[in-house]
Amino acid sequence: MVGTVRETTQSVTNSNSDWVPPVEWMETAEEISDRILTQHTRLTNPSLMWDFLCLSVTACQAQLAQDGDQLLCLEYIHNFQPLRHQISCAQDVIHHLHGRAVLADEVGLGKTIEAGLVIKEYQVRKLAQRVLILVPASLIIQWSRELTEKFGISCYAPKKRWAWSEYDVVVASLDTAKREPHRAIITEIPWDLVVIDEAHKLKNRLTRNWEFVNQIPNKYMLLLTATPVQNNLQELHSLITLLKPGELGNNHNFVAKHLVSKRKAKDAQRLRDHLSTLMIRNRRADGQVYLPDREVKIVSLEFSPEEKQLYDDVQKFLKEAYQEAKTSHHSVLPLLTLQREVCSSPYAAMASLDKMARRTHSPQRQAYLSSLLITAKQIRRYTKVEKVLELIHTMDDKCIVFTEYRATQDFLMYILHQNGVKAVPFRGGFKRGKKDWMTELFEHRAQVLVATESGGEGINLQFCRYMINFDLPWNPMRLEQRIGRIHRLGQQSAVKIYNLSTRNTIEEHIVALLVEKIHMFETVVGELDSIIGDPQIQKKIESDILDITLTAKSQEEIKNRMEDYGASMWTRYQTGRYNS
Amino acid sequence: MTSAPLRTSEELMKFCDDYFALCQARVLCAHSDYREYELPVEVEKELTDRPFFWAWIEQTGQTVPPTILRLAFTVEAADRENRYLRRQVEEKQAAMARPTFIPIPKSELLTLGSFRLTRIFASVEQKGKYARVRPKIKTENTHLVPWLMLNLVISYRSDFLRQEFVSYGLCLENEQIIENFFNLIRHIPMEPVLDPDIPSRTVISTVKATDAIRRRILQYLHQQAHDWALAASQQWVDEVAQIETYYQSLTSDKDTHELMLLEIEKQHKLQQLEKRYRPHIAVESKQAALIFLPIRN
Repeated sequence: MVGTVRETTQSVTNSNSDWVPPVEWMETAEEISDRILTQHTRLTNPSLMWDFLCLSVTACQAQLAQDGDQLLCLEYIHNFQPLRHQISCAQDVIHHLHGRAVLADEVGLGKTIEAGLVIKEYQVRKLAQRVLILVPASLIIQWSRELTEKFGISCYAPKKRWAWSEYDVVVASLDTAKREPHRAIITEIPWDLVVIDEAHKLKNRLTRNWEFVNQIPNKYMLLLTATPVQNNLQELHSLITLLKPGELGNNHNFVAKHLVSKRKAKDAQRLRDHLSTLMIRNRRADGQVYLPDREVKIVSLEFSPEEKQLYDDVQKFLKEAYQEAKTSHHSVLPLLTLQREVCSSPYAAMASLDKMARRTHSPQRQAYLSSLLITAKQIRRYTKVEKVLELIHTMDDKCIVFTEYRATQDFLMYILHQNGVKAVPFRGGFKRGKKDWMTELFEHRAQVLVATESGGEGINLQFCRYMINFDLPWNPMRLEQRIGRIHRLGQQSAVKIYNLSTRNTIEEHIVALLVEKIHMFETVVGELDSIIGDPQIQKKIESDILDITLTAKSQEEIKNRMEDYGASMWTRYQTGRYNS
Repeated sequence: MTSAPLRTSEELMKFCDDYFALCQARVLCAHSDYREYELPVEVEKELTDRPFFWAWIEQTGQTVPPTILRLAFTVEAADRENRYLRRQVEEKQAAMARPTFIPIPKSELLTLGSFRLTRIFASVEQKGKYARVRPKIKTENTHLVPWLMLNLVISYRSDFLRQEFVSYGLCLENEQIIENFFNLIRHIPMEPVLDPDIPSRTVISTVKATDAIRRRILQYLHQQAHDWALAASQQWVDEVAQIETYYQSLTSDKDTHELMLLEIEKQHKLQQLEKRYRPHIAVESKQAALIFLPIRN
């Protein structure tokens, strides 16, 4: 038996056609011989022993790990049909990446399925028994459900300390796992396969997360992330070091050897080739993935005179306050919020107006804000809400209405209820069980789901094909995420998205920016995340837009400056794509 | 390699029919792609997972009606039979003067990888490991020669696993070895040989015979090119070098304690590499039998 690397090294160099790797016999000749002579009479009816033996041969051959690149596990999956890109991804991981890979597909292409295929294949080939899956706490149930229902992998989410070693497949949250006493137990178990979802939480080598994962024993390892780590090459280095320590040198070497700057590689092509042995990234743009069409409609609305009055008055206040904040270096965040709220609904803006009125030290300003509040309260007709009701009636099908604000959500729920439309709310703050329940209600009992932004993550609503964006996020990624809730794998029909936008407001320009300039809704822009996926850049977009809105003298100027901004972003995207 | 058995619903149903017939389980219902078997208690215990239930039943001395296993071999059959089972219960309830609750039985889908089939496989493997048999049909030639049959699974292991099923027969009188032995005799109806004296009559001991078959397997392995193992070794060596270099590069400006921790971490990583890549071949005996065959004239 060769137990050390040195001996094997020699075998490699001395290799000839006769070389055979060490052979291990699972039982001794004496054991076998003994049992043949004694154990054949164990059956109550010995006349059946030959027939049982024949059946046993069939069973044995049926379970053999056969040769070839095909995934054996596909014959064990009966409840769904994995897609071609998912299958080839799993094959790649197993045959070319030796079971250690970063799976970096874009959102909605089924990274969970790919991981499930790899887990199942290793199970069927008897290469992995102990599997640890670390995911965000909110996704534990979803993961275990998918693995059980789709792959027939029975898994367990431990709540007590002893349970870590009790089960073969364990799904837990990274945050729980890294705390004592769990940490000590987990790092002692010889896991065969470790899967980590949302692996971008491991991008920093100095964090406890990274340190912990680095200590978990593993034979195979999958790191799942949708955030395109290639944006920041040093972060990528952290992930690769978990998979293959030294593959990219130590951190210092890596920076010196491969990087011009944090985001820019010296020889992009070489680095990319290198990464293909460690990372798989499917993109919608690659065309291997079929999704039904999406149709995006901009619904242009005209404010009623009262609404227009409120908008203009608020705008006037914002412009003043913005100049002040900039000269005195105060935070513009409250102004940004108010600007966006007033686009959403008067109700959303009222809370902010009220708060500002109470905080301000200038009596003059206080009076003005109070008058704004009165204007807001006097509004009787809500153009956007009326449009929503009209749209819902004409589509006569399930529909999701997205808004950024709680106040708008409550208000919408109230109006829908008054008009006899069955609607359920959905928020990020809901507990998992409530989220599931609301999804269930929406699927079977209600026509409309009114969701706030944060509530949009981690739920799948493929059974619905209509979406109304009551207000628009200023951030293209967020809009993409909203749409991704219904326009994802599993959606059977074409999806239709209505973006409500009011003429002569900032919304009109946002829509132009999102839809026209960034080609947001073309399939190409699945790649959008590789330029603006970075939270830092996302924050910047919001403040840039605010600046344009509040410093421009006229609608015309806003329009021109927004166009320039979109164009510059597009250029940055193109060069980013070229570099990464 | 021919395609693996038990990949179609017909094969699976035939397999289950054969198995339950051997287990003396009655077939209560045989529709297309669907079976109901009445399980004898011993079989029930093997195929289901409820030891506490049985401990309780036995200790309290109760008798329970036999369990009925309802197996559907296609999704369509499962749906069809589930509807039928539900309707039956509803009709029964409708006929009652005072309807009471009756649990609605459900069929279970038996497919590759399902819990039940895994259990059946395990049961079959247990029961079909050893045999001592002779052909049922008596020939004029009454001299029977003992053969040792060994069926084995060869596992070629590295970071990947490939397996192969082999069967050898060795004549215990003249040491002749025949490959693919099981396939040559699988269709002969056999009956058990229970005569306790028989082992002493073989010229060659079963231990020696097993050793001889092993030598033949080694020969067989030597005839193959083991590229897979060379590739795995190379990968292993490369990654070991990489880890050594990497941890070497981390040692500067570290104190002794930190160096010790680094060394421990490195050793762990090296162990994991070995677990992943070390190429080796494992040979496991799956079935073994003594078979008494007439000499061919």
